[in-house]
Amino acid sequence: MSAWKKLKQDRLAMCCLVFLSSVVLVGIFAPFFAPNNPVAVDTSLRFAGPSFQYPLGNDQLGRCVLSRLIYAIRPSVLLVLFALSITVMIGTVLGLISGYYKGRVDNVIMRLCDVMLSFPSEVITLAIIGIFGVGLQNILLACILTKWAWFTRVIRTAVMQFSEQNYVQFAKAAGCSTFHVLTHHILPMTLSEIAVIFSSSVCSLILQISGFSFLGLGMQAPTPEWGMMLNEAKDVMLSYPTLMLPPGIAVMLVSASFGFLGDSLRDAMDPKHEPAVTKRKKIRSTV
Amino acid sequence: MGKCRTMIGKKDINVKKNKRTKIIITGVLTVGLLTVVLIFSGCIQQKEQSEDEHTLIQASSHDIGDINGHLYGGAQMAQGMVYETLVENTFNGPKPRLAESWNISDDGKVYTFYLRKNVKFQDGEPFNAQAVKDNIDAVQRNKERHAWLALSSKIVSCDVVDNYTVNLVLSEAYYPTLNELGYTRPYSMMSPKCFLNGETKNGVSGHIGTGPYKLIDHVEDQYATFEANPNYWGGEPSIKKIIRKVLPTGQTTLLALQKKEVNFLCTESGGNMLDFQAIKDLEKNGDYQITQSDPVSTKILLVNTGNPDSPLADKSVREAVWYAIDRNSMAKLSGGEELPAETLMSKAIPYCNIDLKARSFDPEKARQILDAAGWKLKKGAEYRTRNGETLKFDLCYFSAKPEQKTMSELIQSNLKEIGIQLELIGEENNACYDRRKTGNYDMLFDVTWGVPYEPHCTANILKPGGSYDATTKGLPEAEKLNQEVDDVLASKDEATRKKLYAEIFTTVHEEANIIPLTYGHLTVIYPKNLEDVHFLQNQYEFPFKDLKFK
Repeated sequence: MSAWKKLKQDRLAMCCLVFLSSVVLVGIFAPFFAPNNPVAVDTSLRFAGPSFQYPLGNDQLGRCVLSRLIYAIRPSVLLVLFALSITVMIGTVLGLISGYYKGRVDNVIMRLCDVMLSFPSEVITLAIIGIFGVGLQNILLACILTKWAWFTRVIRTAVMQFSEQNYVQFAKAAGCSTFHVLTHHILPMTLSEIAVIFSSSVCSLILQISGFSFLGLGMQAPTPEWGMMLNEAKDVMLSYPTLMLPPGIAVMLVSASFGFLGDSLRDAMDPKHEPAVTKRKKIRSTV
Repeated sequence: MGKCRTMIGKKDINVKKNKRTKIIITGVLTVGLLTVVLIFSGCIQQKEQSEDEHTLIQASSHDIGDINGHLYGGAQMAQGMVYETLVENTFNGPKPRLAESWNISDDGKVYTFYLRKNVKFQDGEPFNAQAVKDNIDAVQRNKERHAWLALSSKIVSCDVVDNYTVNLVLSEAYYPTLNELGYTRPYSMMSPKCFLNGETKNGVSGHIGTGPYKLIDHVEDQYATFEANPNYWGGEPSIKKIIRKVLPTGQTTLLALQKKEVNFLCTESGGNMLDFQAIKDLEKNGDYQITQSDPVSTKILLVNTGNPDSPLADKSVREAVWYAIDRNSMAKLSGGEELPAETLMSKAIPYCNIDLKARSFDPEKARQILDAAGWKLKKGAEYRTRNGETLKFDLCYFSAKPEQKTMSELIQSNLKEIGIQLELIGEENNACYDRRKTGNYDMLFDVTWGVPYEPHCTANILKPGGSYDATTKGLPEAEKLNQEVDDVLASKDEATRKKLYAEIFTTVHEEANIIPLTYGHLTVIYPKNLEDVHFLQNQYEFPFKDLKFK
């Protein structure tokens, strides 16, 4: 049974997938979906409540909260996905080389990974911000620097499993080039592994980026970002508590969805797992 | 084999169960979290009684630090409670404090102070001419640290005449002498017993002054406790105990006020960090009163003119920025407690009632100025350019002051309207002070010190080496301005002084190198039954000794 079919039967996973794709779409076409300009200031609308023109009300500078929420998808979700893709790409290339060639190359790459993995990622991020200054691009750079080693490790392990398989030996014996073997016989097998680690680390990265922006180290004004919106709402927590809800709920839903999707993906890709219906039958037969 | 199958089966059940549990747990957690928030906001309404009704518990965002009265590391408000100075700055000019009276020689170089008798330090040491000499000499031995204060470079010696008379000898006449001696730091009087080897610049062995309050307990970053000084020469203060608690700014402080963990708050200059709506609600609930001072300081943008490559070296760009900022909207941001500022010095400041041309909000005029200066907006472009260079610069603000961030964002949006790209850089206090000192900024958010420091200290720091020197470096009148500042500080008669100050601040206004934003107040929040709340001239201090409970 193919992984996709299994995934399709998982209602939760499908819900998450639909939700996340719509979030991504809304983010890409933000100018089309946002009712107002997210940076247009109008102090006469300071902390105004929801209205037809401003469905979620206005913030401390009278900016439209809904529009800011929508535009914030770009840094909060899309840029995270972009940074993670780069990380995965680096991880895949190094993992393939390391797992396939083994020996000295593997040794060098793995020791490099050990070095990177032994630093706490927060420390590296703070150090990079300290050197290059605050800004989202620096935090993303830090994430790439700290995460690639972990991806390399995971992918290398997967590659090692497959590189000794008979069909790979056969391909080699048949005279296929190393590049062909890697791209046609090994990479496709590791894709499932990659998909799983990708989706499960998106959620932690989204939280991390929002966290740094909350501290004022990430995205800089006026570009909206969920963590930053939360920070601004925090200052008026007592008088306008509802201002915290939109960005808070958005971060929660998106990161939870990525988390659930990652889990379901792992279950679906795991050949030992079969859908719940068949499972129950089997259990009965064994009892 | 059968056993194995069973195990796998069990695992499957577990996985299925896991997933369901996970959803349930997430649901429960979400609901739980919301409940906590609701309960939390419910608790806010609940009122707790503080232990002692007659103790003032002040909330502050920072620790009192080392309150050595000859240095700047401590909180000035706390220093003002423990230490006193020879004279006191009041709204009506310098008044006697530890000196009962004084004489000024005809050439303005010798000040003779007749000290108050029967004053004792809190450790029982007598306050006399020798103590004054010890203190002033100790401060003068650390002269470099006090360079911001022109008096420190003018004092030649401090001589004991008799037990209760001292002579202060200056190298030249300096009119703000009494005013500067009245600042709590650096010329405050500490018990000579606290000096380490006759010095204070490397620390002191205790914090003992002659003031109305004694520091009796201090746990760093938690609290400091002050007790009334029973032997205070002006009579023991009515409020016997004041605790200053360190609380994070903003909502934590408000919650503490509501729960009566603290019952007194004085906003700090340079961005009160409170949500004004919430403060008004506190007053409405009936436990607190609010009193607001007259404007005490001006929020300003320092503009660096010293960098010839920056567009801001051009006066027309600075003027355009001035015209483009919507000060009325900005004043509204503070919840109506601030006033739009058109001049660096408000007219209430001595010598500053000068007629200056107001540059009120007028984006159209700003655009015309920029067009005339060659910064053109190409069709479809967002920002103006000149010879391929985009009109763009930075604004640094203190990230610890959320109000400054909001105001900066407003400025950013105002400037975008006229085609200027403004980048915001929020940094912590020390990084900002460092930028101010080294001139490493395009525009920097700042707040003036207010009287009694104004206008002469502000004029003094416009000179090379002063903390505002980057704003005057590139001006064509820089030289003339320096000379005028030197002249005004040495001036002997009112008329010259008035004329020179008018010239200095007119130049600064014309050149638009310091752009005023709003005039700020101080706000105190205090229990309903507290009386005689008023303000001192110095915005950094508060007259705790005059307060009493009904």
